[in-house]
Order: sequence, then C-alpha cells, then structure tokens
Amino acid sequence: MWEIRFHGRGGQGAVIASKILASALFREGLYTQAFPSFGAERRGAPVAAFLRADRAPIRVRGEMAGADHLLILDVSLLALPDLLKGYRESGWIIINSPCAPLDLGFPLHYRVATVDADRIAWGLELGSRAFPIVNTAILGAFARASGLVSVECLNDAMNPFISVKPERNRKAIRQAYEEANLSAPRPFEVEPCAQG
Amino acid sequence: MRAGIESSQTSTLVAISTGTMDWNHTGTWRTLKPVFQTFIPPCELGCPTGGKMREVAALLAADRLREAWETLVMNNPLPAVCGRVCNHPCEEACSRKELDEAVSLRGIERHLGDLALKNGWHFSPPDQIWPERVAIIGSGPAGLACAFHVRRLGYGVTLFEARETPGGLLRYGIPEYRLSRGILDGEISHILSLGIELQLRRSLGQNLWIQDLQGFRAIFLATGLSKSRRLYIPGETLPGVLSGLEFLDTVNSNSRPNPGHHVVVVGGGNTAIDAARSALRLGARTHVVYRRTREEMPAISEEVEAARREGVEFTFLTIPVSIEHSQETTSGRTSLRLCCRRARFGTSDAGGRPQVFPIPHTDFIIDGVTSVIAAVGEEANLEELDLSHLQSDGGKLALSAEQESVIPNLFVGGDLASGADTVASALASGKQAARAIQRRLRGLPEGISPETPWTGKINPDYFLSSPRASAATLRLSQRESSFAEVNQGLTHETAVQESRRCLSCGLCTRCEVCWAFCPDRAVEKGDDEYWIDYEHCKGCGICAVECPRGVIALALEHPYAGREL
Amino acid sequence: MESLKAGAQVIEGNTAAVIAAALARVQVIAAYPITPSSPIVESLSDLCAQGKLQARFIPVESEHSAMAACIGAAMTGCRTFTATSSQGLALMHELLHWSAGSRLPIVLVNVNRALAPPWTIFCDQSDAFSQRDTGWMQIYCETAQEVLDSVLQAYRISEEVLLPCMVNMDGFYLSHTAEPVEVPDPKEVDCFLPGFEPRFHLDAADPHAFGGGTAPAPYMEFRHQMQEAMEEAKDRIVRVGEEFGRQFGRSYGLLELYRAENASLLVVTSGSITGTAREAVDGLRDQGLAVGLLRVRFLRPFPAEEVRRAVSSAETLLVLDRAVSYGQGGTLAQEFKAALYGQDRLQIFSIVMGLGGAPVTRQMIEETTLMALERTLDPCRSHWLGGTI
Repeated sequence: MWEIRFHGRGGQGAVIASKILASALFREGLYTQAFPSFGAERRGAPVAAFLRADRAPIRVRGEMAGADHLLILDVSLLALPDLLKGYRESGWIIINSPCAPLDLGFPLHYRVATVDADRIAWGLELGSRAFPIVNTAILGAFARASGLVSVECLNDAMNPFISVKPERNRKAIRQAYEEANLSAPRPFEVEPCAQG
Repeated sequence: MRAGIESSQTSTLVAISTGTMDWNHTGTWRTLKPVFQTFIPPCELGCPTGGKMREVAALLAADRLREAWETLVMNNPLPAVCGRVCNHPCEEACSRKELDEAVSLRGIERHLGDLALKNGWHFSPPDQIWPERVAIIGSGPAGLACAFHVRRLGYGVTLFEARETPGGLLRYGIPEYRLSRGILDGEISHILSLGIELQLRRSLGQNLWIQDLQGFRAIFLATGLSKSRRLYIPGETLPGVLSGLEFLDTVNSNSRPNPGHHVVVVGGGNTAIDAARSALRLGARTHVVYRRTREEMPAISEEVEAARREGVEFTFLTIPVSIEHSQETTSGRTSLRLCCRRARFGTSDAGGRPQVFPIPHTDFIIDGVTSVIAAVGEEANLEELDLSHLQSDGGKLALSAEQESVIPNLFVGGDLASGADTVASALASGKQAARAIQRRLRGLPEGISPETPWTGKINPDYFLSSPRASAATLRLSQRESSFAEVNQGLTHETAVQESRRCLSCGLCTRCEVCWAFCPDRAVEKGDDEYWIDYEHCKGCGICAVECPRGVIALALEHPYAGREL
Repeated sequence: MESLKAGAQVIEGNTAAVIAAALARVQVIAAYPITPSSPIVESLSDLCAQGKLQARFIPVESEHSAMAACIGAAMTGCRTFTATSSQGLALMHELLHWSAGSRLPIVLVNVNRALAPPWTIFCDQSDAFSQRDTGWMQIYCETAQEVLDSVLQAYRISEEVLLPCMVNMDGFYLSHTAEPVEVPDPKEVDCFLPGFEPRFHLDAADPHAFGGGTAPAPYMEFRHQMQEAMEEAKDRIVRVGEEFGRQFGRSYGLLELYRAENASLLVVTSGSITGTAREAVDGLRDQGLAVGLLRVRFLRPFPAEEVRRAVSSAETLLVLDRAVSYGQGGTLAQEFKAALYGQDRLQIFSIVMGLGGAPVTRQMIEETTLMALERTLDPCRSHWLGGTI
C-alpha cells in the first residue's frame, strides 16, 4: 500500500487534489481511498488530506500514521511541527516553492521535488493573486517525481472535480510536470512500502 | 491535549474550558491584513484651504469650543467671513449626502468664527520670530490669508492696500446683507493684531512700485481683478449701463446709489446675484438675464434661491444684443431698452459646460429699464498695475506651480493669479504662498502628510437619518430696503447638533463595530485607539466591510505579497 | 476479492447517496443541511435547480419541517427522500414516529454523527441507535458502494412493507471518503426499482382522514401490524438483497459473516469499523486464532434468528459499539444479549469505542480480541476503549 499525505491551506485545493489523485491512481489500476482531515475547513487554515492506494481493495479506515509521499502546497507549512511525521524516506516530498530542492534544508538523502506552483497558478489565473489555487500544479510535479501516475491520467481524472477553467488546470499539470525540480533521479519503479 | 477543552480526567463533568485558545495562532492563516488608518476626509479634500472640518466637528460636538476654533483657523483665519460667503465645496463632498443631506459645515464654521469674535479669542502669536520681512500687496482674502500664515511662521509682514480700508473684495464686492461689516472688521483686526503692519492707500502702479520693495525678502501680490468684462454689444456705454463691480462698490461704500425702479442684471455669477439682490434692496424691480440655465449658474446656489424668493426675476437662455434709449420716461428719468435674443444649448465645451447658440428671429425687448448692470466677469489689469513684465507670451501671468512669478521671490495669488475664483480658493492661495515663502526663506522641505485621501465609503446601515439644521433667515418683508444680514446663523444648540451629524469619514471614532463583529476577537480596544491582534486575525475582512466610516484598509499579506510574477 | 470494474468512479459516500437518490427517481426531497450530511442536501438542491433531477426540492427551516414535508409528500404517493445527521435526526424524532405510524415508505440517509454537548461534528452511531424504537428500518453501511446499493434496496423493501427506512453511513469515514464505487446503469435500476404504486394515498377526489383519533383497541391493532411488517421485512430484505445481487453482482442480507467458519470468537460490528475489524480478524487468523466477524447490516428489524444461527458454533462474542445507551452500555451488545438469551455457553463482551470520532485502529481491535479470548474482560459491564479515557 502507498500512503500519500497532502498539506495545504484551506482554499488551495489540497482536498480536491487528493480526490483527483485517488481517481487518477484508480485509472492506473489501483484501489484508492482519499479523505480529508475531518472537520470544518476554513480559508487559510492548515489542512491535510490523505490517500491510500493499493493493488488490493482497501478495507482499513481512519487515521493514516505514515506517509510514503508528501505533497506540500504551501511552503510556510514547513514551520509546523510534525509536518513530516511518519514520512518514509523512500518516497517523495513535493513542495510548492521557487527554490531548488537542496535549498530547503532537508537531509540530503530525502527525495525532494520543488515546483513554483504559485507562479504557474498566477500565470494561468488559477485562484486570485492573494490566493493562487495550486492543487493541479502540485499533482503535475508529483506525477513527474513519483512516476506513479501519468499526466494523461491526471487530466482524465480531473474532470468531475474541476469545473472551473479545466483547460488552464490541464496546462498547470503539464507545466508543473515539465518544470518540477528533482533532488534525485526518478526511480524506475517504486515498490509499495510497508502497510501503515 | 492543547485545546481549552480538557478530558473528563479533570474534575469537570462537562466540557468547561479551562484555558484559552490563544496558543492557536490563526493569524498565520491570513492572506489579507486589516489595517486601521486615518484618511483625509472628503470635506477636507474638497476644501481648497484643507480645512479640518471633521476634527472641528468632533471638537464642537465634545463642547471643546476653543480647540475647535483653533483647529479651524489653522487653515483659515477668516471663519466668520467664510462661514457666510463661502461656496462650501466641503459640503458638496460630504458623505452624509448619500444618507440624507450634507452636514452644514459652513454653518459650523460661521458659528465658531462668531464665537471667537464674541469671546475675544485671539490667534496664538508665532512660536519664533525671524528677521525677514514679507510684503503683501492687496488685503483681500488672499492677501489676508497670506499675511496671517506668514506672520504665524514668524516673519515680519507689511500689508499694502490701495483703498482706505482693508478687505478687498470682501468689503467692496460682497454686500452687507451677506457679510456684515462688523464681522469683517472683527476678523481683519484679529489678523492684524498678530503684529502686521498695514499701509493703506498704497496703490500698485500709482504710489507703490515693486522696485521700491527691496527691503522685503519676499512679495505676495494679490490685488484681485479690477477690470470688468464688457458685454460687447451696441449701447453699453450709455448712461445707466454700469458694471457689477462698479455697482457693488458704490453700494458697499455706504453711499446708497439709486439705480431706478427697473434694473436688469446680465450674468450668472455671484457678482450678478449680489448686484441683483442689492438693487432689489434699493427699491428696484430686478431682473437677471443669463445665457444658460439655473443649473449652470456659477453663483452659490443658496444665494440664487434667496434672490428668487426675494423677488428677483430670472430669464434664462437669453443673450443681450443691444441697449438703446427708451421712449419711456418715468419720474423724469430716461430709461433704456434692452434687446435680447433667445438661446439654445449646443454641444458641451472642454469644461463640460454646454455651449450656447443664439436662435435667430427670437429677439425681444425689455423696456423701461433704468439700469443695466453687466456682471459677466472680471479680469486683471496688468498695465495699470505696472506688471506687464510678468506676462508670458500669451498675455497671461507666468507663474510656477508655487505661484512664483518670473521675478524670484515674487509670488502672485488670489484672483489675480487664478482669473476668477472663490473666496476659499483665494484663502488657499494665500496659505500656499506662505508655505512657499517659508520654504524659500528657511529652505524647509514640504512636509509630507502621512494621511492618504479617503477612498472608502460610509456604511449607511450604521447611521440614522437626521435632518440638516437650517439657520434662521430674515423674513422677506424685513429684507426690503434693508442690508441687514439675511442668514442669522445657527444657534449654539443647532451648531452642536449639526456637528454630531458628521460621520467622521476615514477616522476611527472607537464605535466598537469592528470589535463586536470580529469573529476571532482579534480587535483590541485601548483607551485611545484600537489595534489588531495579528497573531489571531484570520484576515476575514468583516471588520473592513462593517466599519461604518471606512477606516480599515485591507492590505495583501503573505509570502505572496512581496513576490514578483 | 472482486476485481475493479471499468464503470467505477472514485466518489464519496455522500455522493453515492446523491447518485442513489437520483437513480431511484425520487420525486420529492425535503431537507435541511447539517454537517456531515450537508453535501447530500446541497448536491440534490443543485441538481433540482439545474433541472438535472426531475424532483421537487423543498427547502425547509428545520429537520422537523423536513420530515413533516416528506410525510406530506409521501402521503400523496410520491417517492420521497431526505438526509440528515445527529442533532437534525434528534429534532426529527417526533415525526419519525409519525412517518412510521403512517406507514410511509420514506427513505432517509443519516450520516452518523455524535450528539452534543460537548460540541462535535465527528462520527458515532448514537444518533441513529437512539431512534431504533420509532418504527423505522435501519441499515448500517460499511462502504460507499453499500450506501448506493442500500438506498435502492431500501425503497424496494420500504414500498413493499410500508415502513420507512433509514440508511446510515458513518460521518466522514464514509461520507467524506472518496473510494471506487460502481454506479449502476439507470435502465437496470429502473428494472430493479419500478415506480412506487401506493396502496393508499391522499387524493382530493377521494377524501379521507389519515391518522385521526383512534380508540384503544384499534390502536393496539395498528401497532401490532407494524410489528408484523417488521417481521415480514426480514424476509423481504433477504430476497431483495439476493435479487440485487443477481442483477448487479453484489448481494446483501440482514447481516454479514466474515471468516466465521469454526470461529470460537466473533467480533460484532456495524458500519465503517468493519473494514478495520476485517484487517484485525485477518491478522488474528494469521496467528492461528479462530476468530471471525459478524457485521450487523440491519439493526431494525433485528435479525435475531439469523444471529442465533450465525453464532451457533461460537463461544465468545465481542460486540464493538460506536454508541452507548447510558445506564446499560453498548447498544448493539444489548441487542445481542437479548437475542441470545438462554444460550449460556456464550460469553458476550461489550466494547464501547470510537465515540465522537475517537480513532478505532486495527491494533485496538486485535488487543481487545485477545483479551476476550483469554476471558480477561468482565461480561457484566461494558468496556470503554480509546480517547482520553
């Protein structure tokens, strides 16, 4: 089973991103389960979303303690304690940041990918100047780094979730896929990690 | 568990909070940041002198009368005068108009000016005295304002006046029923008592020359407009045809002229209305002929209305075409025939005013006219003042943005500089000249106001409609043949009541609305000011939306704010 | 395990309920939003407003009014739907009795949420369990797929036995969790669930008073008929579940057994805990322990006979309750004790866990099961697990 965790702020689209990825991975042939950190979501407040993916149907529900991959939609969240809690070092940390992966101060062996998703979202007028919506861009970077999902699958999966500016969101996925900055070469195959 | 709600292992049986949620720094969620700001209100922006009417109204409402007056005269030393004759652009800009009617700021100003005269309040002397002296030529509103401000800055001032009494247009142009001479004299003597030397009967170009003023480090020239514009029609030199200024000068010099029983005034400005209402008081049937309509009249609207009520007749969209001797004679006096032509509006000119075109074959005669008063504007007479060398190629005065002429340290202001403008503009030009002189003599930079103009809006939900207080006026029967002041001013009670109608645009009054509405209790109340607890403000913007008077601005916050695309 | 089907979509439990209501061609929806069921109400309102669903959406000012409007609509013979949660269901209480007593086949999706105070929006099943005596049938779903399938079956069963049916899904664990769900073809659903043919209904041309004042003797009879209808429903539930299976490939019954063959201990669950409990059972079986699982799908009618049959070879029942009846303990445990009265060889342990969204993990279930096997739990009281206890 792969466990993927999203961190963002209310309004950035982290929860929708988790659902799009769940749908895309399902199209890639995996069983998936996606859920937000339960409770009221408020604009700007830190939110998390969780995604399980497995070759077998997923029966377990509720808390997800570990994470193979982390998708961080707002770089300021790195200041939160426990943001990387449960991170299994074989997976990728995808961060919305204009910086190079090595400049973010992670241990050198972490697989880190950065993408300037804010700039991509601004350029495509996704969200507002104060609050760009970066969820599709971060997924593009994840596709590039992880190799778990194709850009085409993300495009197809996006449909029911994104009704506003779908074409621009597709461009965001593609642009982020191309611009993502990887700290390590992408592994040819990612084996599922231990179950959480 | 960090939240305020503790588990049942504590002694409570129900979820009773035992701490606060302060640890939760919800301010980190913010993308927009509310900021309390003090803005320049619309009335102050509207006033050429920058009168702080919002602050004045607040002080009056708090019964701090002397402070209210002192705040008022910081920008305008003639509140009792202006409170009577100003065209009150402050009131035109007043936000209260969106709710009901503008605050009677002019009434408040007059009341405070009158209070000062009654109570003998005096201007505070200059903080320091400088050795330089400044000459001011012309003691109309611009000259008086400049004298006041220059003196308060600490310079010696000599004020030259061509006539035998100071006041300029205020004295010779404005009739007494609008501005009593006692009030004018009182405020002028206030200014002079700051230590200003007044030289009367010194007329530029006759017994006063710029070259003789070498002892002065700066000169302010504000002699006004002395040349009345002509009608440019046949017959305008006939006896019985005179200019508005000429007529008013006679009226105001206490020699009551006899214009006869039927006066026609041509024009639509304040001079025309003043002349008409004066003629009425001298017993004439009076008629105003104006080429446009009531809406386009430059005269103060209340004055036009008063003239109408007093019995002045108006004929709009009418252009005089000639004046002839009439066959009629009444009580041994020859009279005039004024031939007029109807007009229509065409397209608007650059200034937005509709152009006027005569309609052929619509001539009509106004017969039996004893006087025709042409009040169609005034212009400067630079030759007479021996100021021809200050002209630019176009024949106009060449002035810098600071009103400085081609001769260094010779500043020009008032109507002489602007053509023809309001009393408030004249006062403003005197104030600006004083500042320019200060910068020139002391080299001080222009202080930049930390306040920005108010672009917000009042939130009408928070204000109850309350009618504008109106001043008592002289009964119509009392106005016949009397030059007593028509407008009696506000009573103290109504002035205070009126000051409370001020909405305080752009200035926090600590009304508590933001505090009450903030869902995060992030508005903190101090004794003197409010502030935002940015650790907990989520930037929802409710405070800014709800603020009754638009003092909370929303600024971009966040990592994004500083970044370039 | 069944394989992934191409027609499946990754959707949330709430969405599954919306799709089911649309597939059932409901005619009237009256609802008032409350977390976590709000998305159901919002989506249906949207679909009606956009004309994508040919149904009348009645916005109301409370859940009490929602059920009142459903009763009025159902009285005319309409297929009627509503959704609510927690305090909203509690506010409906009076009209739950009224709708059942009126024998109206209304279907209600209740998204289980704990009751306040202290204020909470998180999951437990106390809201629905405390309505078990209103005359409503109650289904507890394990997956979003089951939510969709159960709403369709609920209309079939309700319209046959003329009792309303409450389809329960755990708040957030199902309502807000996206997972693959097969959405059946509308034409096939129409075959399975034709339009409602009421046996009686309000008709202006044939006026009658409904539910008017009744003498004691016939009142007793009306109530007895409701009890009979509940008994009759058990058979209908099984038949409808089997028919559904034949048509759509997923069969359902009153309860479900998992690895129960020769099990000496059965873990008893309802709702979304089941998935996690299956993992625990697998783990324990891997250790060689004879442990199985019994999932209660219907709480009302309570399948007492099926339960007795299912536990015939077991020695221990470990009943996991995400609800509590204060002064008695786990609600589901009481139901089992009552149904199994006289079977003295059985030890029935009651576990109360997961109230107000407190996490329930595989490890918790495994450890408790081991204690139950070792009989170190007290059968005379309920054991509370998790949270800050």
